[in-house]
Amino acid sequence: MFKFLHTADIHLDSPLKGLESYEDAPVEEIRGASRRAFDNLIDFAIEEEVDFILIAGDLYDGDWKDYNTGLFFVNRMGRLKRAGIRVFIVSGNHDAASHTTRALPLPDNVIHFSAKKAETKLLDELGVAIHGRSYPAKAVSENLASLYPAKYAGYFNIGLLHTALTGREGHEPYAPCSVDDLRARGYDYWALGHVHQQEVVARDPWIIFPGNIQGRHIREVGAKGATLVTVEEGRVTAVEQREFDVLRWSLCRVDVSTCETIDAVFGQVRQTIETGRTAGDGRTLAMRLILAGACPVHADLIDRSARLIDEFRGEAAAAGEVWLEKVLVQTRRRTDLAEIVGRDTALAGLLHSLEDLQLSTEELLALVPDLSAFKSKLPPELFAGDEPFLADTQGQMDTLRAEVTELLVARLLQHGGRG
Amino acid sequence: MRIKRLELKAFGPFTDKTLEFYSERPGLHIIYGPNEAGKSSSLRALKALLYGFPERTADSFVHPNENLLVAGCLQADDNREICFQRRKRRKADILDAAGNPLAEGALAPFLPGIDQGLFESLYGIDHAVLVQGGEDILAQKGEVGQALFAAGSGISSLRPILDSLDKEADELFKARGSKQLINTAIAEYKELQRTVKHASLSSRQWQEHQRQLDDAVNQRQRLQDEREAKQKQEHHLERLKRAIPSLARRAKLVQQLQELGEVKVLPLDLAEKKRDVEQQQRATELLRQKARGSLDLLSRKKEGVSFNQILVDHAGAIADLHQRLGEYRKGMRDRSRLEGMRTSDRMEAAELLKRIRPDLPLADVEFLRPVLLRKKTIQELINSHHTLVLQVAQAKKHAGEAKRQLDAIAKALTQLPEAKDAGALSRAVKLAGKAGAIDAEIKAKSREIASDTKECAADLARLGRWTGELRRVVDLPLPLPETVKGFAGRYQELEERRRQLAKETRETDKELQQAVAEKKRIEYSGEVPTEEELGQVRSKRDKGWGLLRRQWLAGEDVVRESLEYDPQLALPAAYEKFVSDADTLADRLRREADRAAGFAAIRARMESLEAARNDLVRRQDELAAQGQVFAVAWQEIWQESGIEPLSPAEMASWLNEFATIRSRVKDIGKKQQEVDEKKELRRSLQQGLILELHRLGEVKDFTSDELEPAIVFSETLLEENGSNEIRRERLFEKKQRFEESLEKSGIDLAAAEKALAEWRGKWQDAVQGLVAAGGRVGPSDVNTMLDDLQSCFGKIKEAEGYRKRIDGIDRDAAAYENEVGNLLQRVAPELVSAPLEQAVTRLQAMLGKANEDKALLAKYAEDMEILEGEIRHAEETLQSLNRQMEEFFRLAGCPGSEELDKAIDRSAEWRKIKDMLVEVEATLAEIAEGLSLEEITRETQGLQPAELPGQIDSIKREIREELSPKIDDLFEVIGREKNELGKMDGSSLAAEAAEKSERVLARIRRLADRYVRLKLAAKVLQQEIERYREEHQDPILKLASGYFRELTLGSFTGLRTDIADNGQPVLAGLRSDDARGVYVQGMSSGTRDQLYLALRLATLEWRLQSGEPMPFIVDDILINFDDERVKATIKVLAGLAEKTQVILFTHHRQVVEDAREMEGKGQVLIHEL
Repeated sequence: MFKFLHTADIHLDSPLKGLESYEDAPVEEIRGASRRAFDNLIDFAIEEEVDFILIAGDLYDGDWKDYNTGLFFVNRMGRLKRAGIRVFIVSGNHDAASHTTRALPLPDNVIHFSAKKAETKLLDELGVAIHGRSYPAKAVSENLASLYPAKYAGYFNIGLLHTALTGREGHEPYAPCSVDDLRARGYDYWALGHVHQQEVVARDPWIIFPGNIQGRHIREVGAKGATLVTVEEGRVTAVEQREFDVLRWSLCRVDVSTCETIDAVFGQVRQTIETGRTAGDGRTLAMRLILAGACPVHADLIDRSARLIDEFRGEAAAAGEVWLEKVLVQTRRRTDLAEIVGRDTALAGLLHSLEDLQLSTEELLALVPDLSAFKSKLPPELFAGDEPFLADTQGQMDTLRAEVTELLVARLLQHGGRG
Repeated sequence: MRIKRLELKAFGPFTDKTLEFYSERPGLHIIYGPNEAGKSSSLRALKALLYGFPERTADSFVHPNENLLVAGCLQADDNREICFQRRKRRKADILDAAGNPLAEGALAPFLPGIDQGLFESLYGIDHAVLVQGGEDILAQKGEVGQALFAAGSGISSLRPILDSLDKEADELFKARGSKQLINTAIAEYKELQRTVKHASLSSRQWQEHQRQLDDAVNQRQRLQDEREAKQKQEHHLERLKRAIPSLARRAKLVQQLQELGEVKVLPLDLAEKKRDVEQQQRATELLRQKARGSLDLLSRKKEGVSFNQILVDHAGAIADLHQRLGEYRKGMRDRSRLEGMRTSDRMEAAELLKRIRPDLPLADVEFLRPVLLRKKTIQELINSHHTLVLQVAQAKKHAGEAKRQLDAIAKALTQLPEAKDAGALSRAVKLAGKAGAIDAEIKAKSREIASDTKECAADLARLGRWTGELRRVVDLPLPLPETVKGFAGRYQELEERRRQLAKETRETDKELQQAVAEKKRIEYSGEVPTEEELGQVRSKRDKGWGLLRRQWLAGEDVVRESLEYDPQLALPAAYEKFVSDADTLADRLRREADRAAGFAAIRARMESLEAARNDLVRRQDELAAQGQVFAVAWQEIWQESGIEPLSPAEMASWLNEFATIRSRVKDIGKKQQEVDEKKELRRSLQQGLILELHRLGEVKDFTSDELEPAIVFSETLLEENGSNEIRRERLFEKKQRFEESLEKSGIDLAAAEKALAEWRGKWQDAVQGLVAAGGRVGPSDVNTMLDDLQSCFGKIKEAEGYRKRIDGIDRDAAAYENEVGNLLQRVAPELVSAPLEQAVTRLQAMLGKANEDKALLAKYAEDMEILEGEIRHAEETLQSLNRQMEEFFRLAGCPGSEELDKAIDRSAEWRKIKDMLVEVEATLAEIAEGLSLEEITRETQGLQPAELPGQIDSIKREIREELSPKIDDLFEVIGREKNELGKMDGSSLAAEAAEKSERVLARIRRLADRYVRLKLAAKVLQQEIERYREEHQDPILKLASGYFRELTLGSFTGLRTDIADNGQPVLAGLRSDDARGVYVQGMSSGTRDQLYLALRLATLEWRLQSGEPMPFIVDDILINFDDERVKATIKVLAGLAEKTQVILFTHHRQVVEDAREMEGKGQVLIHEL
């Protein structure tokens, strides 16, 4: 009987994105989250006395250049060495891009698979054969799996591979291959990496994405960890997902359609935060609140949103260990805005104009020339990533339109008459 | 939609107030109420009906929040109606007429998509909005777009909105700013990026340091090895350098040893030993010769000494006798003293016996010894005799005392008064006691009554209006307080009206005076031409023309008439003058039309004021009449009581105080009754006590009504009676006790006397023998006699003791004398005849001499024996020493002492050289450090000792100046590199800075989003204002022109747009006589207000053409309008009311007065609150 831990996509030291700090935000609780999550994994491996650990690529983050990250990793590998645990690593697309990988002297309990061709490492005392190959470059478009060695008869065969299989949303289609390609190798377990969402792709043989160990932004919600596999007499007898994340991302929709007053909205928000916190299982939560529903206090919510968000943050701070990443007010009026302002009023005309407004980045800059100067002053990182600023997407432009509409309607209706 | 009815069921100051907005056409409904009448409340009620109650309301001061209720009926354009009520609740606040909740959307068809904010901004206008709107039009210099858009959206002002958008955007970001939120965030972000870069470690850096460390470690190892080798070499040379001198010395010693040849090696201490033996030989010989001399001397002395052997043999007996000689002498001295004492004692004994029994000789004294044996019995009898005598005396004394006491008791009993039964009196006293301090209560209450009565009378006198006895106060017929209150209300109302009328009169008079003053002012500034005057001048002119015509055409004689026409001027001249006058007057009338019109208006105003003045006088008269009626009624209600009343308010207070006095008088009555009851009770208790005292024979008459003296008297009596009873009982007890005592004393006396008789018998037996037969003796004498007898026997015994001791002394002396005689016979017969004491002393001296001689002889013999032993020992020692010397010779193989000394010297020389050799070799071994002597000798061969120091120095220098500094440097390098690498410990500084920068980036993102929205919003709004203007300018301006003309009473004929210097279209008011128009800057503030109102009304009407009409709520906008424009505005609103319901709230009566003129035409209705 032996046990091993299968992990991937650790992206050590890659910072958490989108968390704006504010007073009472649990800054200390999330400091160095990726390292602490990795430490959780190391502690677990030592305590559970696993026989070896598989890291299926993307140990480092490609953009991250601090060699200290590598030194930290070596230090932790040292701990595993003292505990007699071996570690098998293939490089993923991020590792290939990282400068750290090549130069780092690893202790001898860490086996790094070659990028030139697929290799096999034998653990004779356990009867295990591990096949793997590292990425030679950042983008790998060939089917690496098809080039993996034949299985070793009488051994428990494990394939260690960084791949998107036939493609996964939000992930580059590197090292493409099909489940059948993998089956064809005749291995007992395929330890995959690259896809950040945990997924059991197949059970015969086992093909598993363990997901990443620490969510890094609001699109990586829910529990994160690694897969603990138990093998008895050459057969997998248990596959368990273990949680190692320090900070958990959570997307919470708050239906405020029944709220007649702002106080009631507060009640709903408080309850949502409390429920979310309980689900976080003692971890710090990075929560995005989306207030939704056709709501009697819509106008008030829009009007007072800046102050309300501060107060919601106060609630979060009071609940403890909750970081409100963002509060999106996506409520609607009970009645259609167009109907409210009536026909042929000046406001109706304004709404029509907003609807008719041609919005794209280019047109926006043409319409409001000040924005060009503004844009040039902003850090370039703001225009990168998954949700770039002023991106020319339908979604962003629709949101912009809707929010500008609400802003103007609120000013004109709520305050206009009162000067 | 229009509002049909508004019911203020419970709202603000209102309870069940209903406003019916019924009219055939939508109608202008004017809701009038003076200040405090609840006008604002009713406006809020209307909003609450349509849109619910706000969270906090100012209208719950009469009806609590939960009771607030408004109701009403709405009618939609399609004539559907809904009647409902609304409560202040969060949910289900809309109820039907029966109070059942209505669905949430029940009102939706009547308020088509118009929420409260929109309703208030589009369909509501108040004074503040109007003024703000006017001011904003000025601020924007009449910018058409904004004015139209603001009016069109019901917003008084767009400028603050645009400003607020710009302001917020400016707070977020400025291209060249540094303090704006985004600017600071960007700066912070850049700083953090720098931190990340700074804290980051590149893999190249790390590898470089690692490589340098490895190099340094390797090189250090190499150099350290080299240095070690050099040090070894240096050490080796140093060793050889040190070995060379020792080797030379060794060679020299070996040679000396060889030169000494063969040597017998003798023990090291031999010379010493030889010296010792020779010395001992000499000393021993001396000792032997000295001993021999002493021995000869002693043997000569011994021969001259001898001693008496017989004396020495009896030495013990001689010494014994000599010692006992002292004893013997003492015995002789004691014997004579003892003989004297014996004789004295016997004489004393005879004397003592003579005192007791003079008849008896001393020899018979033994006859009396038995009496002494009974001494104890006699002592006991003496003791008991005293007790018995005492007992008899005691018993007699007790009996006497008891008899005396009994006599005294009998006498006391006869003196005590007779006993009485006081039970009933005691009960009566207790009963009276139960009534408490009744006297004090009665007194206190009486005082209170007196004081109350006095106060009430004083109060009544002070209150005034009525005099009479105090008790009549209770049933004086007075009017009820409610009646008086009613009169007070009415009185106040009359007063109020009187004051109001007086005020109005004053105001009217003041206005009239102003009007007169104004009229005079116009008149003083020049005659005011009037139409009448012109008519007069014209008719005069026409008449003149008639006369001329008649004279000229008909040739009539008009002289008389022309004189009449003008006495001074000729007819043609007069005519011309009047023509000219008429023209002048007509011209003036035309030129000074305004003044004329003003003058006319003043006159009209004066007339109207005078009419008003007359009306006021009439109303004052009416009020006076009403006051008269009121006064009569007021007097009537007081008639019965005979009181002359003051004003109702004063009388209400009088009545109030009178009621207080009345209640106090009633209290006094009650107290008096209590006092009377108590007095009756007191009298009956006193009677009871007097009766009981009579029965006990105490006739006492109490002069006062008070109960206290009777109680005190009775209690004293009861106390006395009680104490006598107690005394009697005590006497009886005492008497009984003494009778018992008397009896006991008799018995005791008898017993004591009997015991005394028995004692006398015993006594006689006991003292028998102590006196001569037939004699008597008392207990007091016997003790002395017994003591004397005792002493007598004691003296006899002492005398006997002395006699025995004299006998013993005599016996011892005889034995001693005998022994001395015997000894002398044997040892010194020559002394037998000498006195005893002398012989013994002489014998003792002879014995001493013999003993001394004997001891001297023994000593000589002993000393000689010792000397002989010494001589023997010295001879033995000499023999042994000679043998030792022999042995030394044999050892050295020498025949004699001299040869031996030489052999010893050679041996010592050899030993010295050998020792030095050992020492040199030891030094060499130490230097060689393990090398053998041969090896080191071999290594030194061929070496030039002079060159060695140079070689060593050169190696040392190489180590010190080349190798060691290099190694030290390398240590430093290694330390530094290790330190550098130690710093590269996998620190998370860069990662943490990256985390922070992500957080700042998130902030920038949020703020940037906001910035874009604000900028876009401002831009869109500006564009829309422009677009709205373009689209609506013409139709709305056309409508607004009409309204503006009407509202300004034609002062402006309309509105038009001009293009300002900045290219923006601006509004201008048109005057009929000025083609250029008047810009808003040139308008008065009132006119600007009317311009804004005109724009609002125009957009409202424009909207009516396409949308559902909604009631237009106008709240007191007419405050700053003059009378004419008020009228004009009401007219305009009445016109609008043809198409949509208009509800006007006002507190100006003038508005109502003006509207009344239009009332009844179907579209103007007035509701007074």
